[in-house]
Amino acid sequence: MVSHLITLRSSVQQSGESVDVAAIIDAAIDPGVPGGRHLIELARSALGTDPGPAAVHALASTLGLAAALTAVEAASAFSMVNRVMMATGQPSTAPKIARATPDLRILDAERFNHTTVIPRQPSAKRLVGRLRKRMGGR
Amino acid sequence: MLGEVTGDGVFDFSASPFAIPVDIPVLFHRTWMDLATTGVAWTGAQRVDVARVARAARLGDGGDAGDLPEPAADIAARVAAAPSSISKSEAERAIDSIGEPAYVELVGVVACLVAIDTYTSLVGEGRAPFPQPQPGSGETRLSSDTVALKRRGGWVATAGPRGPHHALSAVPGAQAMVSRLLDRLYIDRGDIGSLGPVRGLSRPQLEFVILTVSHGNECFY
Repeated sequence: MVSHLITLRSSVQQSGESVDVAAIIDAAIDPGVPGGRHLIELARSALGTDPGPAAVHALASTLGLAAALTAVEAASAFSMVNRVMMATGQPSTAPKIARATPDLRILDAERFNHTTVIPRQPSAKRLVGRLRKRMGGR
Repeated sequence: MLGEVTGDGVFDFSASPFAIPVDIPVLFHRTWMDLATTGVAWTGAQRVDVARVARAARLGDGGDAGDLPEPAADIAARVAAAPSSISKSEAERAIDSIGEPAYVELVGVVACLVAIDTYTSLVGEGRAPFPQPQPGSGETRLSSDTVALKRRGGWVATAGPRGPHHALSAVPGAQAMVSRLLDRLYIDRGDIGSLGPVRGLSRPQLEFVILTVSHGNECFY
């Protein structure tokens, strides 16, 4: 979630759209993006064990078939990616978590973190220092 | 409904009410055949057993584990049906029991199975029949044959930085299966920095789908 909350915020800043991530957990809230409620319904349908095409039909009638199939693709891709990331305990960095924390709190998602938190990204200065050391330089 | 396992018609969407892009059945067929081909730790037949156990777990059935070791069947079921329930200590126990390459390869098989099952079910085509185990020796090379693997904060060693395109990189074949699906079904990794529209959806719309799925799966990353 952390990476995609950051991507969502960056893309919203670029597009000028206004979104409310609370819509993911509260059906009464307007997500803010066109077709948002149908997008969320399709994604929720993908989480079930035997999803049918109803959510795809509904989304296609709102946003068109191409958009609906892209949503199907994304939901399928992240059903896969989520499992890869969780089963291998992929870590997040503290700065990224900090950027996503307001949205993580809205979604009550801080409790999902079972993995290692890497304190910070290596700075360019430290990377250059390591490289010099490895090359035997000063 | 989806057709026979063998031949080019495995993923035949021609009767679908949705105009499925023509590259999707080709991609799924290739993944299906890869899934059934011997890897570094599991035979093709065992990989199909992994997929069978994974699908059964998602459907709440007890699948036939074939000749899979019990810890492998257990972890395949967990990755498929309850991925958020896997703790570091449980992953380590499974790795101690079956070996890290076997664990990584198994995760790749289960994850790809779930991606394809999710897609075909969402478009109303049900689930594809399992592929027949493919002949041939398959993949015999580990990343550690050519590059130094390193733990980068995750539970398994990788050949590159954290993220979905390297998480399974200790077993190149498993990583390739996942990355090929991800490049097509999400965004090609070369275009990942672009925040523009993606095949009919704005980036915020696309990210809402991903966030809802990730929230439902309780995936923090």
